[in-house]
Amino acid sequence: MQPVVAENLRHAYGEGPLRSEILHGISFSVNPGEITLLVGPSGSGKSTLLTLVGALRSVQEGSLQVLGSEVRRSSERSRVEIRRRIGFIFQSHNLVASLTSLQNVALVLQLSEPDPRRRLHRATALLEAVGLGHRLDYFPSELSGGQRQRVAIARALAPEPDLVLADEPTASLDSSSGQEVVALLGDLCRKRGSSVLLVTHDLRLLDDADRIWAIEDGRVEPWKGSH
Amino acid sequence: MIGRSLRRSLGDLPVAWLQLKRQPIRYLVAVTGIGFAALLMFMQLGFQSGLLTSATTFYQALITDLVVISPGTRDSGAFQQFPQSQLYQSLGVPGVSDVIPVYVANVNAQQMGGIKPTSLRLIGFDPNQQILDLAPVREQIDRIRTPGYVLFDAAGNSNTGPVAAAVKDQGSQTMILSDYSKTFRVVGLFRLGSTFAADSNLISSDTTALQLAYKQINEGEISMGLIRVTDPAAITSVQRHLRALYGSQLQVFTKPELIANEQNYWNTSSSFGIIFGFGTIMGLLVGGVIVYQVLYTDVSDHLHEYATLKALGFRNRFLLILVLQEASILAVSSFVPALVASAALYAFLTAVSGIQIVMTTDKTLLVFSLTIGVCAVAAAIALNKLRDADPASVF
Repeated sequence: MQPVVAENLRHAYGEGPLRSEILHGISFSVNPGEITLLVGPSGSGKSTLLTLVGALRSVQEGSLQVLGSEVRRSSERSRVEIRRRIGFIFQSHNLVASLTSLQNVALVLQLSEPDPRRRLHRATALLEAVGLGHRLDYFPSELSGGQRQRVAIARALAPEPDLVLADEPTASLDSSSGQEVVALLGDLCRKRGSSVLLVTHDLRLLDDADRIWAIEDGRVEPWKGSH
Repeated sequence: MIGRSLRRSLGDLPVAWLQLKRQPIRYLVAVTGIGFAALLMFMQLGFQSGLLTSATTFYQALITDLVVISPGTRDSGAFQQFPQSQLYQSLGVPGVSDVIPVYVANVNAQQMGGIKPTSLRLIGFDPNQQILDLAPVREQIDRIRTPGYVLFDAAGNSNTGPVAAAVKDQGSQTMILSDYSKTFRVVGLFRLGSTFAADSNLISSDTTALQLAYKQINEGEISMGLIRVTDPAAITSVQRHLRALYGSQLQVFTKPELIANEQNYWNTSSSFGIIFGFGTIMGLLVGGVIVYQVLYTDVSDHLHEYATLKALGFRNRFLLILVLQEASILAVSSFVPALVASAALYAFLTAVSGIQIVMTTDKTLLVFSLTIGVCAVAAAIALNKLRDADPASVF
């Protein structure tokens, strides 16, 4: 089963004369276990597409199947269920400032693991896997940008998602940290067979991808560029 | 059941506490503000209960079944006199065993050689009768048989100066009315407590009372009449007969009715009850506004984090409980220091004013409930802000 299948997906903001269509009939898919890159400049509709694939808003027109569930006409409740099967990585990591690295990861595990001890054990193992075993009790403000993004990766992988959505995960990192973070994400996802849809305009990441889509002016097509 | 449900909703991670703890200054300011509001409520309720206690202590101590007072008497601080002969009419009512006239008047007096006069409530009655359930009065009743001799209330406020201490250390003391017209001798002490109208109390024979309060009371005109019945089970029927006898000329109360009437006057008719009640509401509002401000700012500051949590699959209920937990933590952690500070202030004010302001379970539970309630209401209003946490805004 393909984790993401979009067919003729359209999305617009505003109404009446102020209506502005951002996505113009997009069709694309993400294959199981692959790392798929979606590249495009700012304002191309990347973020809107990501919010739709992430079941963060309802689909207006077209069809979007995420992890086997149709997002169009889905209820908020069913979209929450879809989201719980997705790992999210954000551009600015979006960690909870008042929680330590361990607590940030353990918090998400509350949704899937009822036993608090197992949650802590799993959160610790994940943070060790991303090389932060020595920073378990550090708050986000005490970590470097790269370390925060590693915590975010551990948090995204904590619920053992079938799909990971990553939005410009290298945007706030220097080039070496950025490549390290993406390589780490790729390794961990390949090991457990998770699919990754990574949105970026960082062309240095193209080597890490199994498939690349380009998005421009609200339209998606296979990447034809060279690097 | 509720606790388990809450734990299941939030897991074992005390996120609400961790969020509050992360910003200690804001937390401290919030706790101080809400604690001050709780203190304000405690003070108002303390003053109110102190007023009611002080106003009724005298009535509480009376040994009587029924009390007759003039319809013009609104409260125990200002008695209207009525003819003593009216009281004796009640002896004709079946079931009445005994009647005792009582004089109550306010006099200003000071220690001989003293400068500052103090206001005293003078209670005068026949020393052959015991009308007050106070052991020191019972034991020293013979001392007031001598005209001009009185017992002095040692539980009065600090305005009374060193009278009680001087009597205790050196024996009887002479006092003089503030118009220098008469002197009297304090020959013993008892404890009743001051009121809002008088700094302390004097107990004397009816003869002495008529001498000292000659400007306010006349022989044959009394302040209140105590009526005792032969059979305690017949109090109600005797009261009914007395009411029929007196009509609108006199009011006839049982002791509990007299106390309730007094409390009702101070609570509803006098400005005191209204002022203290208003003060309690003000404290409640101040607390509510502070909690609302703290929670609203907190939710606003964490809006992006809350939107992220929604994106990660947490439901609205998780965030609602989180904010309510923060409100509860603020309420509890503010209430405890407020309770301790209030108890200390009560003790201080009791010592200074002579009015018994006591921290009771009722007051503690009431202020705690109000604090929790106002925090919950403020949290409920602040929760509206949670709607702004749009998970789609995280990308």
